[in-house]
Amino acid sequence: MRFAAIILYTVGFSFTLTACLQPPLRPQFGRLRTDNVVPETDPSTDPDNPVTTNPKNGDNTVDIALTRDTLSKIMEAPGGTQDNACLNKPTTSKNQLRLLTSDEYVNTVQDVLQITTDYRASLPTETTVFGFRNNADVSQVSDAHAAAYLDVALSVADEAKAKLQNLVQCSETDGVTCGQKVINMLAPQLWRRPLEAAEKSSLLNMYKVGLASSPTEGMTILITDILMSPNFLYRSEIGKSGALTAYELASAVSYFFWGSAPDASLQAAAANGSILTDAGLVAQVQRYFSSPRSKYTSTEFANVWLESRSVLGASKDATLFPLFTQPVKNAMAAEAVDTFEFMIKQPTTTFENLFTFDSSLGDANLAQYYRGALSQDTGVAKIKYAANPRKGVLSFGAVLSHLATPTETHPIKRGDYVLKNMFCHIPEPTPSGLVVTVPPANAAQTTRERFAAHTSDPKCAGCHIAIDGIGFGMEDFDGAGVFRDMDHGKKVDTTGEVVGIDSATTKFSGVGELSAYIASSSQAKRCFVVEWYRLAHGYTERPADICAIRDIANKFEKGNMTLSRLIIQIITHPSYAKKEQ
Amino acid sequence: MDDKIRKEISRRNLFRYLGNSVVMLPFMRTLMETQAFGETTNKRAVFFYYPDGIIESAFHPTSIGTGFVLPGMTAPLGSVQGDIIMIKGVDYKTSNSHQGGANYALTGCENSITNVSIDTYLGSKFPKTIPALRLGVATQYEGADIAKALSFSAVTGGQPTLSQIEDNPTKAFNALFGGSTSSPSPTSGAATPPVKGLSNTLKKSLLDDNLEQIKGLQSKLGTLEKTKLDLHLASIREIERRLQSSTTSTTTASAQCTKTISQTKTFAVNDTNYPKAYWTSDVFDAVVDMQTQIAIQAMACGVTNVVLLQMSHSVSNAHFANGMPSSTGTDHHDTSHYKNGSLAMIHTQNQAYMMTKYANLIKGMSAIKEGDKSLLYNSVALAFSELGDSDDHKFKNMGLVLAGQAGGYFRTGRCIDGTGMVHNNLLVSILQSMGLSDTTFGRTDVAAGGIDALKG
Repeated sequence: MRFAAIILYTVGFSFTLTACLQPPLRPQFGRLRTDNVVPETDPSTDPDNPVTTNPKNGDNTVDIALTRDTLSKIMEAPGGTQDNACLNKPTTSKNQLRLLTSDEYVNTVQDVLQITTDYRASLPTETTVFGFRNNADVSQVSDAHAAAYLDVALSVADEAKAKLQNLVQCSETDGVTCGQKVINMLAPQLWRRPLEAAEKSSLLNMYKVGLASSPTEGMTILITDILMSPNFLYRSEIGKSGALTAYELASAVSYFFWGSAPDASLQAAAANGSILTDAGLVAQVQRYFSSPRSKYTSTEFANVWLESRSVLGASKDATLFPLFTQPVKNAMAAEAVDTFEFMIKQPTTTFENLFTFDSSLGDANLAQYYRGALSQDTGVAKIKYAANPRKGVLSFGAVLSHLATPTETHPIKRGDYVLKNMFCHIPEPTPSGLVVTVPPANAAQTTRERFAAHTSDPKCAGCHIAIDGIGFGMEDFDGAGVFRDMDHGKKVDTTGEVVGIDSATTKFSGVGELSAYIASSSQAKRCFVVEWYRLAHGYTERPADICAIRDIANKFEKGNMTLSRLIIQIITHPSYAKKEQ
Repeated sequence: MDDKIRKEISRRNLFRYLGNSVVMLPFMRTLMETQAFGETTNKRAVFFYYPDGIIESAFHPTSIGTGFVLPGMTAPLGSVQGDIIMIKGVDYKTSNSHQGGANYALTGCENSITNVSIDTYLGSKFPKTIPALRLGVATQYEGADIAKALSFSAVTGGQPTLSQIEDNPTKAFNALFGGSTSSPSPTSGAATPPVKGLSNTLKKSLLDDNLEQIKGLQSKLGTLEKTKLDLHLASIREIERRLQSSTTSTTTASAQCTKTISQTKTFAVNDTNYPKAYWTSDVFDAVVDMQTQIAIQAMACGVTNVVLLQMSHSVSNAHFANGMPSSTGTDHHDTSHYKNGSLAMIHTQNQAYMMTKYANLIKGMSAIKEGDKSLLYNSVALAFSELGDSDDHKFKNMGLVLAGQAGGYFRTGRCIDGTGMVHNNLLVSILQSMGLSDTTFGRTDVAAGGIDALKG
């Protein structure tokens, strides 16, 4: 064992310095038009840095070209070559260890150990991938993680020791019997599975090491050891014989919906194996989903899909937008999350409804800001939008006002957002000369007129025709998310087009018509499924996931599946529990 | 090569040999490493990042040598002109816009990141209680993404791990100096973090057991998730090393190790709001100043030899008005696309602000006396961005400035022409100035050796 330790130790530090290798060329897939794209460096002046496609976008985590290709296969309409290729193909998902996010860590110790302190700010910041912060590939324990885990675990241990009477009906002065109770009753909840005999005895030994100094140090070292353990820090989705174990599946369900360890009922379903039956799994999933605590997952999703928190950091010129106050910003962020949560919980709500609703959950501040009417609808405060094109999630103030500058709209940011978040389009890197330029203010021109100048440049048009085509069509809402029909003294031109999506170019006018288009877009619906898949599985879709995602997406797109059904399907689909061998 | 450096290298070679020997116990290696590197140098390296590139004519002097005139963006460096080297003509050998530049700047790698960044590397060579201290200003505000990452703490199995950067100066200060902002007594020895809950001996036992648990899991899983767990093991061992370092370090701190800073703002250490209070542009200036002071104190007190001081991140969402951060100002990145003259002026003002802060860092380091020299004299402090010309996303003639002499290695007070050299050469120069013998860093296909013109 010691020999192995030394070898591992040496290997562990072997990352300090190796020369980087130049990656091979790879083909590009799924681009929008990129004719006329100017290479990053001019080959005529830079022979040492030849023009290459950029295989990974500098991103080791996500192979961008491969992801584009995977997405293009997921987006293909049902009944084509992709579905034929998937026929009789078993669908499985990745074996992985998933490091707890800071929210998951804190929720777990709050639920199991009754910890009241919020330690999220003391835990490491997650690296995001496509906006999701639970990507298991990039969530690794660096030295900074390890230091934070030790620090937080010691603090949690201090707090938990004071609650032992409540938790396990003993106190640290009771000595070994109390240590054993912690091992037998709390460790399985924190590790989300029963402990093996050797694990119990190892923890008890550690407890005794501390106990030799004092009972309090015994308990501190024991609880800290449990919390520093890889069995706590990683959610295991490794499986056994090609399938998740009952405990792993229970854990997956619990963290997906609540971001925390399984509750007593789910633990029991794992212990008696009922979670492994279709009926048992569905019953638990429905129970978890119908709980208010599943707002955890809708918030995680909305924070990525709708970028709902970003408005909280948006600043506006107070002379231009005096009504854009902090309470309004808060209400906008809450509107996006609360309305999304409300919609997915309705038994009959479909994807289309997300883009066509004309009332949302909000407060009096926001109702006034939107020039809408606040009313109570079965105990819920709802804003009935005014008779203007405000409809659906794209017209949320949270979306429109953060995709803007402090003084005006930003059509490029809006177009880029819709392409990425609604259609899963992965843009090419911005090449030299194709810059996102904000033209200087000019009182005689509308925002659109000024921004249009760069789109007319043939070098820019390749990409910006698609980006600006959408952004310009959203000009009926100003930089702070208020409906308008005039800009700089001229009537707003809201004509836009969606280029290269659903294999077509579609004209529209204004956010309302854009929303109507997205509501019926095949690509948007399939993208929505992909994004839920990323959140649930904690990794970016791979070629091996195409058939599973297509299976869900086909049913969602063609079967008029409700949102709630989709979310349940994501976690109960056979591919979730089946693991690669 | 002086005797000291030669001796150091010889020790390192010995260590390298022993490090691969199966008779070495892991903990002994830690001790050896400290002996080999930790106490034989008082050199420090600082990396000062500013976002969104430059306007070449507003950044670089027109003449080389001494007596150069600093244009608009770098004019604030006039007050430290004798302490800096303006570097013209050096290129980044990378591609892919902001991301390519950010990922390359400290790794020297294009596209795939296959080695750790230079701050991590130097930290591993000259480890203190904190091998590399990374402090930031709103770096995590929509910035915790590989697309914006400069620093990588590990690369395992082809997977780079982003370094954690502390944006909260109150938290950074407390972590380094135990929360005391008022004790002015100079302290010898590395700052010892407060012992929480357990003695260091018990912590050591705990971490040993933790290592066994990780190894146990690893042996169960075989090759599955092996690299992830390898990194986890290495990280726990690093925490063990720090525990050891905090109890055995004999480093003599500067008399100006006061462990105090001018705390103009206090931030909750437990801020769970979005955005965090310390991310907003209204407090940007205060946070820069506090983080700079913390960095200087950390070096003066012997807590670290390597610092990354990161201003925002590439494609910065910080707002500026009249050359100062301001919540209702213009987006920093938007103005970096300056095509029009009026925006060029604003971008110049914004980057001049960054250079003012870099000048403050230099002055602060200069004020820390170490014998008859200063912390600055013993250090190298590089200012860099992810792009050259920002409007065109260029990687040529980058905005690079070097400060400090690294103990007499660099000759400051000059502007040099580095045409023909690439940034990898500059990174090698920094390594060599610290006493290392590396001849490459990052891409080996574009550069080898340092930039001789920088030397004294």
